[in-house]
Order: sequence, then structure tokens, then C-alpha cells
Amino acid sequence: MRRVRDRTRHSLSRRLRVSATLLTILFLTLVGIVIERAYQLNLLNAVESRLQAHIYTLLTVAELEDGELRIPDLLAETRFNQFDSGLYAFVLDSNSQLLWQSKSFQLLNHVELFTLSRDTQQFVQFISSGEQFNALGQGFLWQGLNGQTMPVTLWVLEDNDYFLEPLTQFRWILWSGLVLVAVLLHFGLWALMYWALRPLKDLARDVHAIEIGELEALPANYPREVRVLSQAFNHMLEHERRQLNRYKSTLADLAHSLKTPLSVIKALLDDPSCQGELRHQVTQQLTRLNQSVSYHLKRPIHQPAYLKQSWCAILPCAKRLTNALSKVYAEKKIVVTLAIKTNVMFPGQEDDLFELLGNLIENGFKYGDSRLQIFAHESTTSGDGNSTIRPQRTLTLGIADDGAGVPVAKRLAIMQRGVRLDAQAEGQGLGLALVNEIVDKYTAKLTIETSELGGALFKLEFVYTT
Amino acid sequence: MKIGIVEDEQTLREHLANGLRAAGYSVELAADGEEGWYLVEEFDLDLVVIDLGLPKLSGVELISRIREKKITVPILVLTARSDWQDKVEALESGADDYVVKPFQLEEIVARANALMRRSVGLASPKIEHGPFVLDTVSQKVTVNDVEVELTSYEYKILEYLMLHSDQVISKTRLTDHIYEQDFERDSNVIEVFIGRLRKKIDPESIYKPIETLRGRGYRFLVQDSKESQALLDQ
Repeated sequence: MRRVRDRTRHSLSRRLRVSATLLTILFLTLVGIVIERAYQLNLLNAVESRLQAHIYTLLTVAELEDGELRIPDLLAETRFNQFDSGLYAFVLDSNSQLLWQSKSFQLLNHVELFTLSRDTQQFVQFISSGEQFNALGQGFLWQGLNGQTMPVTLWVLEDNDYFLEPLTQFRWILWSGLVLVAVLLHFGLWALMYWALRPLKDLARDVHAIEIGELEALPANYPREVRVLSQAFNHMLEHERRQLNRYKSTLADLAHSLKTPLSVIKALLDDPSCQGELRHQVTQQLTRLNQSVSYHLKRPIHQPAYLKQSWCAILPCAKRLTNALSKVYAEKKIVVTLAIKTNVMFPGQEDDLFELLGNLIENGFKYGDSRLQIFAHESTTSGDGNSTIRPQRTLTLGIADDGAGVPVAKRLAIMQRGVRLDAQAEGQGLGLALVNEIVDKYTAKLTIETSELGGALFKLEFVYTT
Repeated sequence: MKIGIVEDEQTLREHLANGLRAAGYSVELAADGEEGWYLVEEFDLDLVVIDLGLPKLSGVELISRIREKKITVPILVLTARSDWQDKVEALESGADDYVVKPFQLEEIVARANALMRRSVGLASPKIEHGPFVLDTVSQKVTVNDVEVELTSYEYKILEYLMLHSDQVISKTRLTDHIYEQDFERDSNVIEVFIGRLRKKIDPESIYKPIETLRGRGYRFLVQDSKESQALLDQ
């Protein structure tokens, strides 16, 4: 089975930030190592040249007399004269016997410097008694004034401190410089990535705005690369919306084309010539058919979140419904009170709000005696300070009347599909079942209580994140 | 009382017409929006029943046109679409009530009755003028709590006169509201009905509720109202 990689674990900016940081560190470390190595080689060359110069200086003062090599006790280079100064020189004969040593020379344990054949030179690094030394040796065939010759090897040694000191200094400058460069580069890259990834962040924000209904389509002001995506997204959105509208109008047409024949059959059954059991049976089935058709045609259409309409204001919808229904129930002279502020919004589609309020307000008009109260208010439950938890808002919608109210025993039953409290009150069962469907769709909560007016109070609670 | 029915489905139209006729109303029919507009313009209707899904001129357009022309006839809408937005739109365009298809004929009759009463300012289905009480639902007439037997036409005339009490109703208007378009009009018939009505509801001629205004028509007015009317006339 193909393993599916979890692409959600790291965000794009995190991936870029981490990889840029790692690359910067790796690159600058390599650069540091190469530069340091080059400097080290350069420094060793300098040490060798310096030791070579000391050899030449010693050669100028050395003489071969009576088969013995003579070098003055005090030399121009004072470090040769000073004991344990760090600069030493000695001469070996062909049998590796010490012929001469500088005053600075200390007995180096385990130093096994060897003789070198004539005209050969060797640079060595060694450790003795825990100290590191750089040494340059050269083999000569010494010729005295009287023509006598003697094969000797001249070694000049220098304490490694003379090599390490400038190297340490250089290292400090190099690495602190590189760290500074790394830090600057790091911030530079972060700024660059923020700027480069900004359109993607904007895109995500705009898509969210579409989800919550604040935007209808993505704006056109993205960079070219993202614009291709946003245009395709907009086309898809538009296509889906059209599809949904087509679906809705097909349903509406279907409603019309189904209900008129149903009315006709009903009319035919009302004819006095049609009597008896058949009429009774057909009427019964017709009623079931009609209820089923009405219910399914009016069921809320579950549409994807991104197709949600803008939030809709509750007050205008409630006003239109109460004005219209006041006309229908004019005889009852019901006094309607709307306690809804203009800025209170319903977090969903206008169709659903109309169906919800329409069914509940009509019930209020039907069963209320003289007064009907409709209220809506919002409250906020703040998040826990963690940015991942957005504050939640609760919209409470209530429709209260002063009628007989709903008996406690029937409050649960009333919300079930098709259950009608009063068969005389046409459409109530269907209306409340549809209210229930919409409540389900928005994962809202519906409670039936006794209103302050003495009748029924239908209370709806919608919890949503902002 | 004359009711216009604007419905494109013939069977349904006939069914409605028969039902409303049986309930004592005279009926005029139209099969599309344009014909419906002709009905409303041509006849002094007491109510018009309009289906929303009409050919030529939609139900909402017809209602809007009726209201734009300041015609105040009560409108009952028939709709297959039971969306609240559609219902509200129909009511906002000028309809007074709606019935969702498929409907019970009794419901249409009850709503039509209520709408017509409301249009003349009556809240109750009973019209009371002194000792005369007319129940528009049961279609019974009582005088001093004693039921009076009336024929269908007598009832129709009395109902129309009582609904429009204090108003002078011409013979033509009475004929228009009681008979259908193709009925052969004869003003003498009205006079005969009025004569019979007077004998049935006020045999002793104590109240003289139906007044004849020569050359103008009839007026329903009971004694108390007559005195106040006389004061007003002075």
C-alpha cells in the first residue's frame, strides 16, 4: 500500500526557515574551515621561512676549526641566548652526536632528530614533553678554511606557540565574523521569505474570508504565479454557485410541477361522483405523498462552506416576515415586539434564516393570543489566549408568544419529523421538522420553554467561531 | 359576492370555481396573467384568487400591477412553492393571504370568506346590525335570534348589502356581484328578490332595514343607524 506522507506537519514558511538556517550554517562552516585551513598553511610556510632565515644566520657565524665546529656563544638573535626562550638550534654530526647547541636549548625528551644527508632539508612538527614544536633541519658538507670537510645537520626548532598565537587570533576574527554574517543572513532570509510568502498568506486569509462568507470571490491582486490559482479557484466557485442555483431552481420547478397535479387529483377526489373506500384510500395516500414531497422539497440544501452567502442581518428578515404575517393574521391584531439590534447577524444562508423564522413566527401568530416577542442577541466566549483557539460567539434567537404554550410532555415529540401537535393547524408538523433540519445543519440547539408572556418560547442557539 | 379565479390548470380552475359557487359566490375565471388582469379591470370583484405560476404575466407581476393601479381588491395567492421568501414576496407585492398547494377547498372558502370580511372592516364572521345577524360561515341569518330561511340568491343579496351597510348599492352593482358574466341580466329580478327579502326578514315592517333610493339603488340601514344618518344628512 502506498504510504501517504503527512504534508501538514510543517508549514511552508517553517520548512523554508529551517532549511535556510541549516544551509546557512553548513555553508558558512565550510567556508570557515577552508579559510582557516588556507591561513594555517600560509602560517606554516611563514614558520618554515623564518626557521630557514635562522639557519642562514647561524651558518654565517659558524666556522670549522681543527676539525671542530665553532659557533659564538652569544648570537645576534637573542632568543638563542636566552634559556628556554622557545627558539632553539643544535648541530649533529653524521653519527647523530650533538656538536653544538644554542644557550636556549633545553633537553628535549624523546627528541629523535635525525641527521640529514648533504643538501637535504626537512620540516617536521613534533611533540615533546607535551609541547609542540616546528623544526627545520638541513644537511651540509662543512668545508673549513684548510680544506677539511665535515658532514653536519643543523636543526632550528621553534615552539608551536609562535604558530598558534596568530592562528588563534585569526580564528577568533574569522569565526566571530562568520557568526555575524550568519545572523545577518538569517534575518535577511527571513525577511525575504516573509515578503515572498506574503501572497500565499493573503490567499489563505482570503479563502478563509470566503469560508465565513465575508468575501464572495478571491481578489485579482495576487502575483502572477498565485493569480493562476486564484482565477481557477474563482472559476470553480462560480461554477459551483451556478450549479447550486440550477439545482435550486430545478427543485422549485419540480415543486410546481408536482404540486399542481397533486392539487388536481385532490380536486378530482372532491367530486361527488367519486365516493367510497377507493376515495378514502387515495386521499390518504395523496396526503402522505404530499407531505413527503413538501418535506423533501423544503429540506435545507447542504452546501459547502465556501458557497455560503454573506452573513445575513436578522432584523430585516424578521421585519419582512412579521409585516407579511401581520397582514395574513390581521384579525388576531397581534402586537409584535422585535428586540433585535441592527448589527446582529445570522451565521448562514438567508434562505435558512427565512425558513427558520418563517415557520416559528407563523406558529407564534397561529397560537399566540395577542402578543409575540422576537429577540436575538450575541455573546462572545473568549479564547484561552492560545492563537489556535479562536473566540466563540453564540447567537441566541427567540420567538415567544402568549398562547397556550407547549406541554412539557410534547416538547420532545414536537421536534420529531412529521409529528403534528394539532392536526387542525395546517403545516405545523412539517414546519417544525424543517426547523429541526436547519438546526441540525448548523449544529445549533433548539429548546422549547415557557415564555415570560405565558405561552411557548422557541429558543435557538448558534455557536460559531469568528 | 364575486370572486375572480386566475389559474392556468384547467381542472383546478374548474374545481375551485365549483367549490366557490357551491359556497354561494359568483365566479369569473381566467387562465393566464393577462386574462386575470382583464378580469380585475373589467369586474368589480370582491376577491381574486391568483396562482403564482401563471403564463404570460406571472402571479407576482399581476398582483403588483393590481396594486400599482390602486385597486384594493383582496388577493388570495395559491402557490406551489412553499419557501418563505416566495410567500413574503407575494405578500409584499400586495397579496393579502396565501394557500400552499395542494389545498383543501374548505380552506380556500374559509380564507376567501375571512379576506372579504376583512376588506369591509369586519373582524368577526358574524355581521350584526341591530336585530339582524348574518353568519358568513354557516350562511345563516337570524332576526332577533330567530333563524330566517333564505334562498341562495336572497342570502347573497342580503350578505352584500349588510357587508356594505350605509352605502348606496345600485342594481347594476348588485347584479354584477351576484351573477356571473354570462347571466342574462334583468333588473326586475333584483327588485323581486329585494321584495321577498323584506318580507322574510322584516315581515311586520318594524325595522325597514332595506331602503330604496329611487333611481340610485338600495341601502341597508337599521333604525339606530338611520337616526344618526338622518342627523348627518341634516
